[in-house]
Amino acid sequence: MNTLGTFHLLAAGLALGAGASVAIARKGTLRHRWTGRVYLFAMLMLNVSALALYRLTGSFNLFHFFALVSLATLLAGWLPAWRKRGEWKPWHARFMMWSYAGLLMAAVSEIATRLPFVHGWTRFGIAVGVATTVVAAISAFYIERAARPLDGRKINLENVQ
Amino acid sequence: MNRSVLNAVFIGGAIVGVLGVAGWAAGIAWPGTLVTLATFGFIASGIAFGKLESPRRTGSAS
Repeated sequence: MNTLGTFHLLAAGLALGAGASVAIARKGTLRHRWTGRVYLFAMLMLNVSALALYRLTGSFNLFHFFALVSLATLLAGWLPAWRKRGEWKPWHARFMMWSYAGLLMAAVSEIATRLPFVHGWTRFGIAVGVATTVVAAISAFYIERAARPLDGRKINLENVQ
Repeated sequence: MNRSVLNAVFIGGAIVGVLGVAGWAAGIAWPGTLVTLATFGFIASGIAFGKLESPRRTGSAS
């Protein structure tokens, strides 16, 4: 694998770890903010390197489009937390969780395409489609369950350590 | 969960993740296994790190 591919995989690993930590840990703490910044940085590196990888088809393809969607989701999650205006927390929570869900979809797709029986473009497409759909469905359930309590409710973060 | 267990999972997961990436970069066989190993290693490490910060319950309501 080339240097760019290794960099892409390392950024993915950092984002997977930092994202899991942010999702599990208490929200609004100093550690939440700093781990979130690490996640933001890792995702930026991951998507920029994804946009520079052309080994699969040799031209702009669906995965480059997904990288742009991932960047848009990431920025949509980060901007509310940066500006802190109005009811920003539900937006921040939902977009950030969908950003991580997208990363998980990509990781599971990456694994699925390397299964021993996945040969040729048809099976490759089915593997990506099934992996993405399954992770998206599970994510939608958990994201709504986690974000719904934030809707229309102000949380006093001063009480959080 | 015990703090020392979480520390072990945090460090162990990161090592497994980095080894998975290094194995893949070095072109060792079974890339699918290495990608899986790296993915789950990093996720486990992150979860353990996230749980580490949770304050211990003191039992006091005030």
